[in-house]
Amino acid sequence: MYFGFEDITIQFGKKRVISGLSVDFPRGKITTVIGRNGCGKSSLLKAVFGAVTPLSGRAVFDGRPISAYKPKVLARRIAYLPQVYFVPPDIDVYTMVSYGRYPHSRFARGLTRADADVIERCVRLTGLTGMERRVISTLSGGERQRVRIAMTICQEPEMLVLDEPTTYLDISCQLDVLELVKRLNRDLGITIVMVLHDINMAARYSDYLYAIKSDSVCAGGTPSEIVTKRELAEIFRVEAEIHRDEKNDCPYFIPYKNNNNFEEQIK
Amino acid sequence: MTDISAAGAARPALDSRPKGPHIKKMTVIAVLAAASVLSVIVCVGIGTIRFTPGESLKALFVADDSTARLIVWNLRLPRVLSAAFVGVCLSLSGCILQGVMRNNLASPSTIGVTGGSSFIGYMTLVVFPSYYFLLPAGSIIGAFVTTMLIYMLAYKKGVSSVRMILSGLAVSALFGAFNDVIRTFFSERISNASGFLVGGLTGVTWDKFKLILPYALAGIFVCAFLPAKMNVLMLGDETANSLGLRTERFRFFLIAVSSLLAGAAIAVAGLISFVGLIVPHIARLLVGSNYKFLFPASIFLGVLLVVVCDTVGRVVLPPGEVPVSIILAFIGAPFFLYLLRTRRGE
Repeated sequence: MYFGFEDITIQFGKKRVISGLSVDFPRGKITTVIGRNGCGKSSLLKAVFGAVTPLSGRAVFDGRPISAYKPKVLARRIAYLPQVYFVPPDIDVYTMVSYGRYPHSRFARGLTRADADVIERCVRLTGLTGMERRVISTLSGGERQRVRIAMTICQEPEMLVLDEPTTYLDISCQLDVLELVKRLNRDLGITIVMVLHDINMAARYSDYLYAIKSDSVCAGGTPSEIVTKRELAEIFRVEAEIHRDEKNDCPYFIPYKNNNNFEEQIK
Repeated sequence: MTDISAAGAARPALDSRPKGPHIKKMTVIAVLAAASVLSVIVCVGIGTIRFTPGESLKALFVADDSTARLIVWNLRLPRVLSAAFVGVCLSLSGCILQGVMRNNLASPSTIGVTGGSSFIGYMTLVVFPSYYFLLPAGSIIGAFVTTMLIYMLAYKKGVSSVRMILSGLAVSALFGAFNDVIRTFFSERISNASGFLVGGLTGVTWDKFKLILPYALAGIFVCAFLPAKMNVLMLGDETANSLGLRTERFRFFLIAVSSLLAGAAIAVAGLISFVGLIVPHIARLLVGSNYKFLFPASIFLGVLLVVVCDTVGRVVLPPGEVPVSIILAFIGAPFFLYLLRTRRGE
């Protein structure tokens, strides 16, 4: 298994979020995890980096359990963009991106010339050239997200895990971020695993969609296999009208009234 | 490995990256360093008998039998150097605590570390009255226990100001009460720890200075290796973990280092408040929150503040002395209130 979870169970207090789930993410592809609020998709990703401790089971990377890796060694191979983050208000773009070199740093040694080259390249790749000395707090939400992505690829990872990278961004910034993610995958061969809420965006930018249906069932497939009337009804309890986006060669859907039997419940 | 580093053609020169702001910060730090050295030279010359900086320098570097040498070297220098070290230790301790708690109102005095540390310090003096050299160790242990206590009481993905200040207040009051009990019932046993009792540097000798020197130096030395990790820690636990930093372990280590520093300072100077709070703030205003610059700036500001305040306390009301803690409280308390008011949202 390249990257995935083996029989993993996650529990918060008495509430079981994920129970005995096994999933396997393909190498070199963009895979997006979708599911309803509170279905445990973010918790699943957090379990990789120790922010959530699974009750049982484990996360696996490149044939070995994640826990068998030294944190810095793992950080040179997998980068993670959490949803919640802190930025010291007066740090500039260059400094922020340079923190991505931490896993490559050695004891009591500063940034090397090679580090500076990587930073410079990551800044260019994310379209931040010329903004190196801008202070983070003066940037827009979309620019900030690009800085954070620049920091993660500064780790030179082979896999990038993103937890809802488009939340709170306007539509053009969302497209920016997802186009960038796609480019990282196509040009640099970075395996992408992310969580998205917008299924149409997910369908457009992903090779595979993994839908968490219940605490132990995860359905995986191409966007065309998952964005269907039946699957969407089952996962999100919505009725959907499926269309085809010819230009991007992917399905998209228009959601209709809730299939949750609201009327019956009210009566 | 993904070949981000191999993708480009020509290697850009390292110097091509913009450097301007760093030069400004380095200049600020250099100025502060010069000022702190100058403050030591000037302050050893100030007192009932005054010496010019030139005379002080001569007294510092030429070992002869002159009165100047006697006064400057034997009486004033240990005190001024102690003040300098107390300043450095408390400032660094404050810097570290603010990082650990992820809260800019943290400092040894605001979270009650000073109280806990002096309590254990008192206890060592009461239980082992003839082993005065145990005092720093006791203070350090006290500082560590109190910091861990506050951390566990108040930490929840970053410390909320209210919870931290309130737990600090409660812990301070509790230990203050214990300290008063000890002072009342065991006054003769702790009488030889004068500075420790009143919160000042009155009568500090070379012996006392040497007692805390190893602890202070060890703490300062360790701080030289912390900035990169501290910066990563500031990005939040999730990001820091994913960058390969073991945040829990590192926090524990930081609490130990800050206790070492605070304990060493408290062992020589007793209850001195506000240095650990004010200095990191001023340093942040001057050089920003990157720990690479914040640590050195705090070190020199700490020296400046405590050396100058102690000298002012020494000469302001002759023939008596005002303890440095009182001078610092006059400056620090209003500053703290100002911070509480402006940073309410955090």
